[in-house]
Amino acid sequence: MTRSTSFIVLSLTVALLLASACGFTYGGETLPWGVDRIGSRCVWDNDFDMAVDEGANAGEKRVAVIDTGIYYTMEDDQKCYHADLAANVWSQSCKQFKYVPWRDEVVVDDDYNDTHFHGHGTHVAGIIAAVDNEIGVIGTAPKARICALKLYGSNPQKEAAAAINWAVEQDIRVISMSIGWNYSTEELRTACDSAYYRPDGALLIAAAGNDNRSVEYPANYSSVIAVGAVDSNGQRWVNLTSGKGSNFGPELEFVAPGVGINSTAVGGGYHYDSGGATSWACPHVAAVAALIFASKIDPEYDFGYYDDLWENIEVREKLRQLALGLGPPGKDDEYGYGLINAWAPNQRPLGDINIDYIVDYRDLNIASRAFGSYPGHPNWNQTADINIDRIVDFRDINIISRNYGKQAL
Amino acid sequence: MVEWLASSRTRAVILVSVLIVASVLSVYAYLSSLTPQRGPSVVITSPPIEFSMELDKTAYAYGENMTITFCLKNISNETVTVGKTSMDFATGILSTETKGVNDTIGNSFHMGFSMVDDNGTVIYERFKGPFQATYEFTVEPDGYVRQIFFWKHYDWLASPLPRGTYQIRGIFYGSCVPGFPTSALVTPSIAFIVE
Repeated sequence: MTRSTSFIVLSLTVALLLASACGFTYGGETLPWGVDRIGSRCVWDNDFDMAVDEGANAGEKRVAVIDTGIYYTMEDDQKCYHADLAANVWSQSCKQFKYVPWRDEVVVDDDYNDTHFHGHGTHVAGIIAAVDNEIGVIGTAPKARICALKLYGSNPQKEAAAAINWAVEQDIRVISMSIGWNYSTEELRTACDSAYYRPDGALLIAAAGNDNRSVEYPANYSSVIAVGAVDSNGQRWVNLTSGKGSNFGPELEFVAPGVGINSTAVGGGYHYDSGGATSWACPHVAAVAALIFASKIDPEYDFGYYDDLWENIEVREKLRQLALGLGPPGKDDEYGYGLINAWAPNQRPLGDINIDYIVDYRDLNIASRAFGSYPGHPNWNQTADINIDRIVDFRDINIISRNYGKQAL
Repeated sequence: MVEWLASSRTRAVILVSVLIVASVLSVYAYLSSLTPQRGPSVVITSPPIEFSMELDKTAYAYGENMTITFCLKNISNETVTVGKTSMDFATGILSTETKGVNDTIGNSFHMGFSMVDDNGTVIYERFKGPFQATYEFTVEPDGYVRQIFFWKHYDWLASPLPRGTYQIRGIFYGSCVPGFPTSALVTPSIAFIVE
């Protein structure tokens, strides 16, 4: 091999490695590696031209982003959003929540500009719904509608609780929270539980935390999906030098891309975060939830009200079945049910409790052992509660029976 | 007045001078009021960094605001990388001053504190932000981040602190490379009274 040939081969190798780490660029738009890895593109871009296919499901649902707001400038008294988000901002549902101590209440107003905190909320919004427009990046659900619910910070837990309640009042079904505390408050717990455990409840998704220890709140609540971060090799993000890392524990439900994430930024540009953060993993899951909510219901999953509409528990179960198992077989503390996935040719059949991709006597055994149990009961097994109604009963056994013998393709 | 001034250029000059001096004094007085008074301070040293906390005084009137100054300083001979596992609100920060720091970090609160009452009950604690994104900045030898936190003196129940004696400790929750992984550096406590 000549020197020039070696150089070309080396350059191509480096370019490919860089592209696979940072994302792929088509025309003027980059597909971030995380969006690609979780298969969302298979939902809305079947011809692989890096554009949403005509009539495809691209998650056209409202997603509340409880965070620092999203970036905009004022021009002629009009809010001008980041060019890669503007088409997907549901402006009338963007608000700021500010706790006023002397009145002991949270007031809601229209100022929701993200001008602080290095654009945290703007980055999160881009992961969910950066527009398919040939510039910048593309989001996981490129037609999801972002409702930016900004926390002011006087009392962030009370503000977050008020934002959740407000989102529920607006009938927003997906709530993304890249926030967390190492302690729980009554307001926050009550807001999460009442948003989730109600007819037409919302699906709440929260970041597990970055301290390489137990899952923080609100992610720790059973009414909230806890999301950890993995790198592009599918490994749980841990930095042994700094002690940072994706939090873990039995409450962890999924992992999603959270290291080396490129997204929209304050100022109208883009920010590549070379580090890791569960803040970036959480919106990937929220966006996949939006994709499922926006899809036609799979009759197999219509076990909530049998009404041909997705319920939050049905979407949650679908997410569990779609997840790609990582780590030890079954659900584990470091990866939960595995890497979130929007589409999978080998989706696990409903009723596959032990994640061996077949519904068989092993699953029936697990469910039988947990039969009659509920959270706190000594026999409780969360994975056996297939319909997520917080009790393992005949309904769960029914699902296994119906799908007995089914296996992933 | 105009005629009086016109009658003597000297008088006009004197008047203008008085106005200028009065303005300068007013501005000085205003700026002085923003600069916190120096009060008791505590420090914890954990090479390569030193973390200190200072109150503006030790006795406060009921409902009076408190000014707490935090400072994180590199006391080593090499540049260190300070890391945080989350971002906190800037709400309540009066000012941020840095020296030898590579990033504009004024928009986030980097320090924290924990306050207990006479019974040892935690009245208010804050040292870790809610936004789950990590970030780092470097601090050169002798460099520092100083943040003045203007605390509105409300506890978790949003009431002014009841009269009594309290203890406050400064907390820096983060990592330092080379140095130590993410952990909390906690200063000795300072007692203060709400009268």
